[in-house]
Amino acid sequence: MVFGLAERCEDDGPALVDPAAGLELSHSALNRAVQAAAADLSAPQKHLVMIALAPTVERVVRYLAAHLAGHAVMPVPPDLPLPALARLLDLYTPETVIGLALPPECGYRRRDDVTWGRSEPVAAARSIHPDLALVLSTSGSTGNPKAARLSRNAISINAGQIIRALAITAKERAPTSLPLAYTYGLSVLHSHLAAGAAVILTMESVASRDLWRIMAEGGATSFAGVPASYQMLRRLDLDALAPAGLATLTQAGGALAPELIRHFQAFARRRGGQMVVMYGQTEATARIAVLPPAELEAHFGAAGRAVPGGEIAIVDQAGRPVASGQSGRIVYRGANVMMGYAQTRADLARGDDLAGLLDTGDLGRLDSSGMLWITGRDSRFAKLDGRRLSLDEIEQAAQGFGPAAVIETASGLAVAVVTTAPPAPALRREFAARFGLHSSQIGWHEVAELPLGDSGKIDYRALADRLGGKAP
Amino acid sequence: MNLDTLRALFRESFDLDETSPVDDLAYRGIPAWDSVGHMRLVAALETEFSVMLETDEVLDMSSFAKAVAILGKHGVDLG
Repeated sequence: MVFGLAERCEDDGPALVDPAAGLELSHSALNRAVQAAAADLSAPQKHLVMIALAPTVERVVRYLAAHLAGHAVMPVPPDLPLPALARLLDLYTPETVIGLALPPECGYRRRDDVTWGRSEPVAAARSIHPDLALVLSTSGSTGNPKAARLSRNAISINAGQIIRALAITAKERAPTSLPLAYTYGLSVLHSHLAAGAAVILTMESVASRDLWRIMAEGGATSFAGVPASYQMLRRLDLDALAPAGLATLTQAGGALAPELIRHFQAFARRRGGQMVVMYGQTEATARIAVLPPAELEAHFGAAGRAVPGGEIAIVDQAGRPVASGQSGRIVYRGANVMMGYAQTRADLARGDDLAGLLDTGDLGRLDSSGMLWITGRDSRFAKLDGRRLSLDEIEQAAQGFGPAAVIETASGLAVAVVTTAPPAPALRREFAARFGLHSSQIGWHEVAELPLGDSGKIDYRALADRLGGKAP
Repeated sequence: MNLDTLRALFRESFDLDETSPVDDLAYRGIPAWDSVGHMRLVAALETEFSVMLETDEVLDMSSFAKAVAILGKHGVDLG
């Protein structure tokens, strides 16, 4: 059974709490509801089930039921725009779609109020690997079709690693402070259900008074946030707002400024709790490293230590281990590593391409005690607000204005473009919105020419020096 | 200082074009006014009007009209 639900069929402790809807499901009741819903989803063949994973009891039950029925599940944000949704449907041809409104031309027929099935059956050749359980987009909200293929074992292993690293007990109650279709948000659900703890379901954000009311009513004990969440929380009086039982703060999704870590560590300590800094990737189900709170004081800015059973190594460009303390590419080995990427439906038939070894694309070093420090990124991806953006994809779009190169900067992205007519404000806004960004997060720089390296390729390091970007 | 300054700050914060009406905007009424947009707006108002908003004011400022009222309490005369 998924997430150990069957083991808790006698457990009357809360599993899902939705204060706004006045709903509370115990683990035993959740187990029964998921079994009933799984019966509705059962099929002779393994399906791909795409689900708009809204933080509601109904949707979480169906999500778990799709797992229990043995299908591969692809969670997507409930507010996914139709063009992005249409593209995903086209690329992945899910047999079942839950909780999304589909126009007739998509080729789906409504089965009940929330479930859609294909009008024409998917060809039998498009089989799904028996181990595949979760197809999770690597960039959350933008609907980038590149997804991590995660096995049932990887999900269960990573949930266990998180439970151990954070010492999650059945008494914990975590709000859904992050979207459930996002690896970090989903890991909170998985780990808490597996620990016999509770998840408080809410769609509200930190800028809404309702969130704080719901967290109080639901008895929240922890809060999970990305750097953007903590930048917002910094503006609020958390001592006055946070319910009395809230003592644990966790943070991942990019580096948080040390002064903010300090600020929230002080808050957590006043509550007798902890501030937990973490590092991870969708490609490793969610979590790769956790910074033990007892070590935080001496390691502000560190990413943490490998989760239990995982192993972090630093290698050079050729893949050879570097000397202790040297910087290089961060590679991670563990049973929570994905099977590989998927970009189309055909990829779902593939087996384990990585054998537990993940090249994270991040650069860093391990100090003599095995603590990981991240120093940059080797791959062409930026992490903004906990989301991963492909710089090459954005660069391609920027080519519309002339020869262009895109790099990450401390405050967002910088586009260097060779043009005499840089885009007007309205175009800049439209451009930023395409990638879910605010126009202020993309700086436009008119340049005479793009710096090129010996091979004739764009020299991003030189560009970063000129535009004040992060070293690639 | 007048209402047009405030309208311009709303448009900037939410990436709206120069002619978009903003007087009827409310939190989550448009995709750009999410929690990130909200904090961007708060920062813009604080900088422009040299005020420091309290937690309650940050959370209660859920519409254009409420922003006018809250700034008024801080002595910002929007004419």
